[in-house]
Amino acid sequence: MQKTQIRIMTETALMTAISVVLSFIQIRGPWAAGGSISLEMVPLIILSFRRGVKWGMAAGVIYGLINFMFNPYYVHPVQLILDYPLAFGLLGLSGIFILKESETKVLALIKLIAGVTIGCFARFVSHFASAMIFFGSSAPKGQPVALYAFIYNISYIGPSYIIALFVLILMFLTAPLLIRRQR
Amino acid sequence: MFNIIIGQYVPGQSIIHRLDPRVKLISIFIFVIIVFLANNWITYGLVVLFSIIGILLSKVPFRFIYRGLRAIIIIIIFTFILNVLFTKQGDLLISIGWIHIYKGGLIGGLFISIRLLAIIVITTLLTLTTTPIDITDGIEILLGPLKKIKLPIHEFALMMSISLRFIPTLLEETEKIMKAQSARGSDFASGSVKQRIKAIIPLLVPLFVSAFKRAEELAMAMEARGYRGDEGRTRLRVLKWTGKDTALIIIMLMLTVALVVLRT
Repeated sequence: MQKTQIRIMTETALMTAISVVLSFIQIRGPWAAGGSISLEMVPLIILSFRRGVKWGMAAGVIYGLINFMFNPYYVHPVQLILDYPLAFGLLGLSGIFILKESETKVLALIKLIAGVTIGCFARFVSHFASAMIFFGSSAPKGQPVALYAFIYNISYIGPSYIIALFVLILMFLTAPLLIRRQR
Repeated sequence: MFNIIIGQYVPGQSIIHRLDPRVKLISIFIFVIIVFLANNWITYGLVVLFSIIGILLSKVPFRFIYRGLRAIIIIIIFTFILNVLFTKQGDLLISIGWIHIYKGGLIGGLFISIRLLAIIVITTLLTLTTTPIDITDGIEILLGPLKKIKLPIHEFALMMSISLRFIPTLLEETEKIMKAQSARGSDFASGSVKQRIKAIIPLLVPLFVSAFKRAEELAMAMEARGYRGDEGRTRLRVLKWTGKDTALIIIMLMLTVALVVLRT
């Protein structure tokens, strides 16, 4: 076991823990079937940028499982996978761009915004698919399932995305070392 | 803001609490699959009976179970209404204006609601009677065979345990930093959304810096104690399989057979 790998593992674990802590501070809303606006995505995205997609996804999967233990919303086995481990795991895709020290601030910010957008979009797709599958299996035929699933999920992922993006941009401007890729 | 119970676990000494987490996980896995076998009154009756016995044996006060259900009740009612209104099978029972309620729809809606409710009650029972750390240990051992195909099950379980261990610590730390920054004049609770987002940066940056420092120290401590991954590692908490665990597995198999035989 390599020295850096243990370090990355503990970082992943602690970022997941911060995500859980931040998920407690949330704006409660009318989302009956799970979903809330909080900063839970910020630590997972930071880890993705710091350590790459692989570790970002690992953190997301772990966060999804812990989130499920604390706050289970469960109606269908496939829904569980899509809504918890997979949705947050896909958020790890944020880390596909590497923020280097040598590049200009503007370029770094564009990469940051693009990464966060890709990650959040992937998460949204997973939640959307889960809603489609669940309602597809339990609602009678002929209902506008897709529209309902779209509105429901965008209503909390949209604001979460915007808030996370702003926080990440501000954090990058104040403390870029936290977000840049580590050697 | 911080006087929340972490997780859902309700401490207790009931037989459900004392079951091996591995057995609970296996049983739930079997349950959520066989529930879909039920398709008439007798089989749904069995499913309901099983869930009620589970609740009674766990001795968890009903309000905790209700708390877990509260969020989902709305979706169950919604599904029920959709099914009642839009399924056209069996005899026409009521017809008011454009609303036609058929017997098939009413029964179908009821069955789907019971199925959802049973699945949710049984899963909630797991998180109510098992500590997150026990669940993690259980998952690690159950998924152990996957290590053969090079899946990093041990590493995942370890990161999950570390994460669970540090949630209370970081919660305390967040509170401390919040107080420290408030003392310096930060205002987290008022102002426009933009101002609040700006106010949260002086909270997040120290939180992340200290978490990364903690991660580094922890990694060093693990190394100093000779952590080399999964091979040859011994455990502090050892899971024990006892008679009641075997009994539960047998009950689950009996329930499966009963559902297969009695379904129409």
